[in-house]
Amino acid sequence: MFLTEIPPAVVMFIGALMLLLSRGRVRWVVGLVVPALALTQSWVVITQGVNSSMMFMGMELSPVHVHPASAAFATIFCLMAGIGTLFALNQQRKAELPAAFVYAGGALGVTFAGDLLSMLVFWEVMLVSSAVIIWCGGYRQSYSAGLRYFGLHALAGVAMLIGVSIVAAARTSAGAPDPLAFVPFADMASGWSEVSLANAGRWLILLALLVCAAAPPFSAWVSDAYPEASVWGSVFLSAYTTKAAVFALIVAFAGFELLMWLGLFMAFYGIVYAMLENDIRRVLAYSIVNQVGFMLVGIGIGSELAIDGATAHAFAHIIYKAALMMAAGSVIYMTSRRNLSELGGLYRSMPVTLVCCVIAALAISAFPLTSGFTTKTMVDDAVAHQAHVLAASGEPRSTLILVWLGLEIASAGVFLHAGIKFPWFVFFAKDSGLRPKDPPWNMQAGMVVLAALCILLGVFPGVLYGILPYEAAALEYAPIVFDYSHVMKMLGLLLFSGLAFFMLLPMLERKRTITLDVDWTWRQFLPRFWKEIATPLAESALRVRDAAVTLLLKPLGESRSHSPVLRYVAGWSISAPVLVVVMMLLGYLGWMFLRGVGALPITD
Amino acid sequence: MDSLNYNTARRLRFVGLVILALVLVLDLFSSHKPHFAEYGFTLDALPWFYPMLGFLSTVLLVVVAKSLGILLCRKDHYYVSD
Repeated sequence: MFLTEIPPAVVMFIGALMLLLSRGRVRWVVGLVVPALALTQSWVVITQGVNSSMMFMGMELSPVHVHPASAAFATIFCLMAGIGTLFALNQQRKAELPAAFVYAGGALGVTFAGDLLSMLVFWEVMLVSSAVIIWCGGYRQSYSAGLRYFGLHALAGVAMLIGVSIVAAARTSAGAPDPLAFVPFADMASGWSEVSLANAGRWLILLALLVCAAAPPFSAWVSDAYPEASVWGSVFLSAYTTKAAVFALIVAFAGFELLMWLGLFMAFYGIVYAMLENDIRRVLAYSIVNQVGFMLVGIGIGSELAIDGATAHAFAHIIYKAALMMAAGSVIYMTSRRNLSELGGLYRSMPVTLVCCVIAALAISAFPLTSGFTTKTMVDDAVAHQAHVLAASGEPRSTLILVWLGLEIASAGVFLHAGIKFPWFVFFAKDSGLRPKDPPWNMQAGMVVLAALCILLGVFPGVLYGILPYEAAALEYAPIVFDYSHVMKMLGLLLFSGLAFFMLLPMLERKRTITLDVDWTWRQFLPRFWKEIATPLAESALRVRDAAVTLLLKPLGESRSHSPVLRYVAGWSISAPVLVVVMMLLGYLGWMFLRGVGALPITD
Repeated sequence: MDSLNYNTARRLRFVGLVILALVLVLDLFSSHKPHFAEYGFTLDALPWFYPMLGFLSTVLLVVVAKSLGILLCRKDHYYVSD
């Protein structure tokens, strides 16, 4: 009984510790076996329907709880930890892989969090460990990019903490039996604009989740930070934070329509930026924004089919995006170049990487017989289905036609920026003269496994449909996936998008540019504002003050420095009083804590 | 210098065009059920709707992205140099 209640996340945390302590082959075995154990533990928890509860400082927490979407997300999170480790076996840094395990464990913890506080704690675990992964990158920009990432996500974490506190307080005062429960915020869908304390809390939680889901205007961290991690680190990074946010949004905000519009915007935002980018991994980072957009549309619609679609798409996305990141990583690892404009013609010397990359690129484009086809079309069709259902119930929503059309256009755009552009400029296009070999065997193996999964899910989608939140809706959808009209629709859309790509090829030639995103505000505008406007202003203000002081004190003449009180005060340092105040605050905190856990009697 | 030699490129282009033509022909046999019939929106029931949508949206996206690029693109050491 006790064993089944161990959070699967803990398995990963113990694994991280073991990785840190082991060397050589033992480390390999630990790295590959632990994710398998975590997967087993996850499924024990899922099949037993565990719902653990524990008391902590007077709050009832539920660190292991099975949500409808837990099965799919936990499975892919564990799988990805194992396959990512396989890809990373040849990396030498001590901290990177353990950090990746802690990171995966954090994500796994979120998928099984039954209360908001556990969710928050696992979220912070993810934040710290992912920042460590970025800092392990070893590029010139890794440190500062990691700091920016950490700063933004720490702010999001604070917003989430405040949000959770407010929601819990509001629920307690409303007499809810379980104020911390991590359950759908059902009132949000109808009364989102209502000004109330509870709503403020929900909005803060939503805001924090949207930052982590890479929704604009806070999406720039993806393209800023992920490309600065190592080639192994970015594989892990691409899988967890944004998808854990998608999971949390599915649990708490399904059916909140705003997410649908935001998702549609993200889909296009990602495409436009990915088309303009030159750094391979920045292209892929923007395509994460684009793909999460599709998932948010599904969440915003909130019907059973749409939630299944969002979940399935997240599952498939983690696989093909990791495969693309691995292909990009292999190219960067073997050539030490990271820009499309410096690459090209690698198809001769890197055949394995080429094939895996093309399969993953087709999968992200939702080409028939690949995983994207069996998952993304689910979201597209959920939009049409929802319009149909609403019309039948007498509340037609014609705006859904726009959403649907937008998704179809965005599908063509995905093929354009990730499906063709990435493989074309890396492996074909102009010959860069480089003839790198395929990467070491373990990196090839990682890619091959993921490419095989892309095809497996594309040919036998039932494997995935069976573990989706609303199994019935998914299985009802399964027979129509490979309809003739369905397949022809995608083939027509994608192949003619490809035709346009090759016709417009001269316009798409890569130049050595970077595209400004919202992060320009804190990377360029604020520092320059500080340096060129705020500081000079402050300096002149100080000069004015000094002049005023001199002018005012002049009549006092020499007497000022002879005043005994002034001479006494001038000798004081500020550090001693600060220390005293800090000690007092710490003492107060400790006292309150002891009272809170019941070690001290509450007398007043 | 192109990475594919002239003959290979020509052959690939030919194969590509044949596939495109084949898709256009096969598309005619598709059922073309409109997704939003209740709303009076039946454009998607037209034959070759998706090929045209794919082509036109790609052109549109390239044009939009290129024009935004004029505003947003900087030399790639924009952030690093200072």
